[in-house]
Amino acid sequence: MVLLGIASSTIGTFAFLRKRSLTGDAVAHSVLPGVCLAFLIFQTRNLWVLLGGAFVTGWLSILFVDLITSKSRIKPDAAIGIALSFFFAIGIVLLTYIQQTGLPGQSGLNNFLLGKAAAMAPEDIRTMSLVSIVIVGTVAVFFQPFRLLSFDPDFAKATGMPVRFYETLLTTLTVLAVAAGIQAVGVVLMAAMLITPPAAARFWTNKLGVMILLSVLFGVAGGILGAYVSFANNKMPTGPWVVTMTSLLVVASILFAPGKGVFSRWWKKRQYRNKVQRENLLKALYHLEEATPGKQWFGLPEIMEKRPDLSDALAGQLRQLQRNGMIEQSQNKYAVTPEGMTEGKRIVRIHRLWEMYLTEKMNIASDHVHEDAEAIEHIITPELEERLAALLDYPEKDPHNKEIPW
Amino acid sequence: MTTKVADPVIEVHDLTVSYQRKPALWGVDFSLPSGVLAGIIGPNGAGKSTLIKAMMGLVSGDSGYVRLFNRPIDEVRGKVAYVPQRGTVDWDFPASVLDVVLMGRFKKRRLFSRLSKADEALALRCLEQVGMEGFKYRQISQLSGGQQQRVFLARALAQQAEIYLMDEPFAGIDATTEQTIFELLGKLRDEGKTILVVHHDLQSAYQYFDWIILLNTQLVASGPRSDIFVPDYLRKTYGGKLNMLTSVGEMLAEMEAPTREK
Repeated sequence: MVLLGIASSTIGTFAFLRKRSLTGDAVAHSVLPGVCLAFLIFQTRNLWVLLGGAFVTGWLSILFVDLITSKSRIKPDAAIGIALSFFFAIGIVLLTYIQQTGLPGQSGLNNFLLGKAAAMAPEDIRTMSLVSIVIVGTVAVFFQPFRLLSFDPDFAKATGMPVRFYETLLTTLTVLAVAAGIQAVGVVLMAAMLITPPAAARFWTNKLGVMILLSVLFGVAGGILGAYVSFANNKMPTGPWVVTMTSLLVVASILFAPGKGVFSRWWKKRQYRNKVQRENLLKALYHLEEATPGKQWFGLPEIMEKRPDLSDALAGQLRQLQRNGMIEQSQNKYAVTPEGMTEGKRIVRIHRLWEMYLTEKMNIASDHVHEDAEAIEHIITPELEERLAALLDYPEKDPHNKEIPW
Repeated sequence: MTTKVADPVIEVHDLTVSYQRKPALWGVDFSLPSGVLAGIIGPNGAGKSTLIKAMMGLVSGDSGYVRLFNRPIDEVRGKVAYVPQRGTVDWDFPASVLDVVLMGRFKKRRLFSRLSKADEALALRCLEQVGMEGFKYRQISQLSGGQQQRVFLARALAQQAEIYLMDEPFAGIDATTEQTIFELLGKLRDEGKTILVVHHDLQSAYQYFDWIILLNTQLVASGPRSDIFVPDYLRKTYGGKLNMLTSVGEMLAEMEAPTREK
């Protein structure tokens, strides 16, 4: 199970990056008739023989897809759908036929549908191990060309790389991985072993090497968990459990991955919104001080008048500013500390500098610049501010004739 | 009008390429001397990219041939660098800028060996030449369109070729960068390299290229800049519709049977 996880996740990464995930699904379903035919012809359950059959029909399905897409107007997605269902249908027909013949050894064949890790014999495991080692070894050796081919096939061809050879090799390895996995995971869900681990891994890294390792980790974890449930409960097929596990990993990655995950993006948005609100509040207090020189302590109603949109969150924002040492509180009145003054001044300065920039350098009318400056004042870094100030030659007044505080 | 070259580095002979029987290039025939910076100019759908791809052997022709250094492309790939259009790859691919430039160092014979320190040093120099040295570990998904284009250029430079074939390398690039890169290409030309660039802007074309190929499915003209930039040829390329050719092309596309015996 572990080995299978390693092999399918490794080769699946390239299928995923080349956007050939569905091809893997077609192959997975198409190996069923091969397994059945091999059993019918050779009357044995030797895994090598069944693998051989699986390999042949798996490859046939790919050639079938290529043939349909190149010789007709049917697009790849439909061609894959046709190949997948056609081969799988033949497989089911053959499987049903085999079950009616009463041939010795046929009873376990339906395990190939949904997988049964517990039903595997030791020599089956040896066979699978060998296949897995071949797959991982080949990927390790041909890592560079595989990467180039996956990223930019035209350029790969232009450098004189034997692209056809590597494409065939990648496809062969994919078929092999599928064929090796059907006993444990089953043909119906084998494709998920190729697709889900790299899909989950993509969220956590931007490096191909790391992505393969993570993909392997996810594949192995899903494999072990699935196999465990299936072993513990003899009635349970392995495949669905493995795939449930790896799919949960995908969902978890979509939600929680740093940077790209839904939660992380939501958190960043929230953090930024809070920062904007805090800075706007501080700016409001600065404006109050500016408007009424000498007065320092302001009550809630006065502040609320300046920031009506904040009324619900106002108390929380004030507490936050207090914790940051920007303002202080005495009874029900608030005053800005020296640190808060510096910060408020900075925000107002950027706001007015930006208005200045828009009117002076971009030729925008002075009554059109406020909205924009409201957004920009929270973004500009000290370095950009310095450049902006230098560009405008450290002006004294903004376009509305308000003083720019330095 | 086609200026014949006595000892051409690039020779395209009577090349016809079609997609689903509709010709994208029709009997294109020209040659290029070594050490020129040449531009392929023409309207949208004129077959400019197809011409470059056919020269690289990425699409196959119905008839005619391409010779580079008097040889078929497959024998001289090591001496030819290629810049594909930026849009042909998925920039969300997990790779860094340096990874992509190093792809230019990929050689058939060194399949198994790792890339050497020398390769990396060269890749960094190429990044410097396009002004992207500060971005070497940047993820390619975080680059702007112009930066992506420059990474592709750096990768082509890393190939250290004699001929450079570039497909729209200035698409999405700002004017300053365009000028820097044209200067860079000019330097390559002065070193004796031959550069063929698909380009869309007539004005900068006249400014920078010393050889112009005007293309609109057919070859309209090919020769030194001053011979080619005359109103008559430009009108033929852009203005006057090639009515006959278009109609026959559409007819071919509708035919049920192959039109050529092969």
